Amino acid sequence: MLHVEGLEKRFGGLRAVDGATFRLQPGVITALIGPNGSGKTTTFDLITGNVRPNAGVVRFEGRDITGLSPWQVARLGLGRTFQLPRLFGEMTVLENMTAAVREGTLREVVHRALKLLDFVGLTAHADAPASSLSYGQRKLTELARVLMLRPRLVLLDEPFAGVNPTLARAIADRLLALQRQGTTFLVIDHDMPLVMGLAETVLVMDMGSVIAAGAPKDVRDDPRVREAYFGTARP
Amino acid sequence: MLWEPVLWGQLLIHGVMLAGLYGLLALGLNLVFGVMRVINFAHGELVMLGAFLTFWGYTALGLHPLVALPFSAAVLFGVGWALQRLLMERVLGGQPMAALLVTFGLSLIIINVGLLVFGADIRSIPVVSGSLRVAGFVVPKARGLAFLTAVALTVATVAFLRWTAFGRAIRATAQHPEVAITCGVDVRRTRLVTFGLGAALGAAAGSLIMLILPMDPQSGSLLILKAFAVIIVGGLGSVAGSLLGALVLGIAEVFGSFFIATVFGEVMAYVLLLLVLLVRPAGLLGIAER
Amino acid sequence: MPRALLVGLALAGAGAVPLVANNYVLSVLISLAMFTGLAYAWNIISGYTGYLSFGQVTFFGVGAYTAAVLIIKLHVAWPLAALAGGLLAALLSLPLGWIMLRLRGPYFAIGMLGLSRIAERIAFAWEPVTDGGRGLYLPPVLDLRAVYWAVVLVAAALVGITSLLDNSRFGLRLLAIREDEGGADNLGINTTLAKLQAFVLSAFFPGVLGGIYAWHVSYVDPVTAFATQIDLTAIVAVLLGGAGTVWGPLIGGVTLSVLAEVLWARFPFIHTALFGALVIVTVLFLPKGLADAFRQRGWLAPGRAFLRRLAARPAPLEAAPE
Repeated sequence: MLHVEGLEKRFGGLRAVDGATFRLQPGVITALIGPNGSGKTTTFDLITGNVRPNAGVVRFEGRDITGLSPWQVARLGLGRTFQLPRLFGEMTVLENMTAAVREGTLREVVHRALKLLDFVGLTAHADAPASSLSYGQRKLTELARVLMLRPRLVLLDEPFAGVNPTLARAIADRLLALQRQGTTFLVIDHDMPLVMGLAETVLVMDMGSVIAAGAPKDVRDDPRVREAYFGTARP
Repeated sequence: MLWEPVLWGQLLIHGVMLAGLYGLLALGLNLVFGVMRVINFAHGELVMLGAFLTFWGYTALGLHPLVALPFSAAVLFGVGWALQRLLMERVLGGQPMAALLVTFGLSLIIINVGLLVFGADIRSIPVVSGSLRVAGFVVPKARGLAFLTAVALTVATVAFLRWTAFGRAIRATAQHPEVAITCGVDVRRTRLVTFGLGAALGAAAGSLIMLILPMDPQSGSLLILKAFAVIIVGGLGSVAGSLLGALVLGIAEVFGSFFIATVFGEVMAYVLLLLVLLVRPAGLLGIAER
Repeated sequence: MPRALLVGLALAGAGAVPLVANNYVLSVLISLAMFTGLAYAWNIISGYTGYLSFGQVTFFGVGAYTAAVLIIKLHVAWPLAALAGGLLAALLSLPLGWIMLRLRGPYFAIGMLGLSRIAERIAFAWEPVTDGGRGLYLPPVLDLRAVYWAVVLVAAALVGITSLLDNSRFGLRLLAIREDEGGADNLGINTTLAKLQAFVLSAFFPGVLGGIYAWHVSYVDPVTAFATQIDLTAIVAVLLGGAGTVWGPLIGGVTLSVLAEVLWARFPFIHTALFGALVIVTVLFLPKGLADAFRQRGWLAPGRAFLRRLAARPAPLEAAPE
């Protein structure tokens, strides 16, 4: 599905991502965890073309996508969301959903958008300006919007941060439902119980590289992970 | 092009002298941008206003331009302060385009006021005449004086930003406004002073430019384009970049005018700007986003 | 459909004006339609796409010179010459847009202003073609009616195109770029291409209008063809009326013309300052323009109705995918 090898990004003297290497299996929810500043978001940026790597290769479904522009990566079926939702504020929720979709007649696109809004429980807000939504609603809208592109892989940057537990649970349920339909996810989040319950595989990043990978409970017991994660700043 | 060391050296000296003025011209604009993240579109008009105040001091009061310059700069500091207080504070932090449009409207008002008060005539301050010969090169006294004063003011400003408490407050606000607040910096006052300082530096640049180039109340728009080109060529938010940009622009203008056509000298700023954008969109030394 | 009827009536009414109006009234209306058209063109790149340009007059001037040269040297019929002016402006806007659209926000605005100043300098310097500062003289126009019809046709076409844009996916892509270019990029919108398309549209029409202008006033020189005042009027009209809306430029254009007749004719010496004050007052107190105020009072239907209409009348379920 996704094959990242030796990915490297330097900002001045800082190695934000330093030889990150991992693979994602299709149809699986993978969690990407690690302390703050370990290079998780930069890894996303490197995969989606928002930032150009200094070295390394990104393959998506066997195809080398290193150095492609974000829009090219998105059109190949690899979508992403951001830590802070990036909605088009002056446009309505429905317009947000349809703006970037190219395939299908407008009628089909609108119909699909309404179905997805129903799926995330925002039907009533379809005609509201995105800027009028609450934080949690924005997160849901951004998720629904990226699904409009029928992505086969979605990178989610902290989908549960700042969201109340009920809504977080609801988002997690949606992700599981989509996974059952075959969508692959890579999720960054700090909500350990939720992430460990959601993901089949966990990748742990520290100092810009992936230091451990495996099933949630194996990773949790890995001494290197304990040291990186809990041995430093965190209790 | 013929290689004639004396001619080329002469042109180079002229270019560097012009660059000193362009550096000061861009400094105020860059400073306001750094702290407020706003391109002050009225910067050229503030420059013009300062120049005409100095001109007025010279003709009406008989003051030497270098004596009138501090007064003109002080007045413009007040004007900048007032504009920030009355107008800019209302639009900062909102839509970025709103701030640009407000300064755009402001530039139109200042041009109109300038035309009403000073008339549409082209003016200059021909107070210093004659030339010096330095190591075989001709240096017109007016240009030399303008250049040295501009360099002194630029150095003083950089030193002020680097080594005084208030200068550090300005730089802190430019880098991290939120952090600056928590460190006890009065961000509002810092911004007021910065806008005032930007205008005062513009007034100084304008006064010095008027020593060597005639100006009219509509010259401001040409000047902001040059200041803008200096900043883009050098790289946004980089003081060293601005100085490099000014040097490149000054020299390119002089050589372009001499070897190709006067018109080419005038548009050199933009030819350079387009080239830099084409090859190195972040500017020669810049890393900032735009 | 009453809508089509309304459009037909409006066009017929506008078209019939020269049959009853004298030359003075026609001149006023030509200038109104000209500036409204320029406002609509500016609205595409700056209102919808969010790339504030202070230099679209570059393309107006290119159109004016192209048409003038074709008419004088090759005796081309003026409507064709004006069209050629638009085409050359559009052609020129491709490389220029490709470079300039790398700048964002205020940098693009000022960069475009600089471009228009270069264009003016070039017109001064390129004497064999432009005759420099002396300018080019065209045969005088005796009958203003054809000019009127041409300008109104272009302005009406721009209203139509904007209405289509406002209700199209292309329009949504432009708005998405205005709202968050990076976000749009990450959703698979080729922002470089979309911006360039908008830019070319916003260059073609000023080019045509510049060509008509040259014919209308029978004279082109660098200062008037590339006058900042032309951009200024279009910008103020759009801001006042409402940027990124179908009716904003028209509302702004008409309001500005009325203001010009009532107010500014009496205070010619502070004309520029009044413009500046109008920009500031609009930005501070009417940031969404008159169109938005009209909408809130229910005088104007909200824009971009196409999605809402489809959403209210969804496709039959069996036709839907998934």
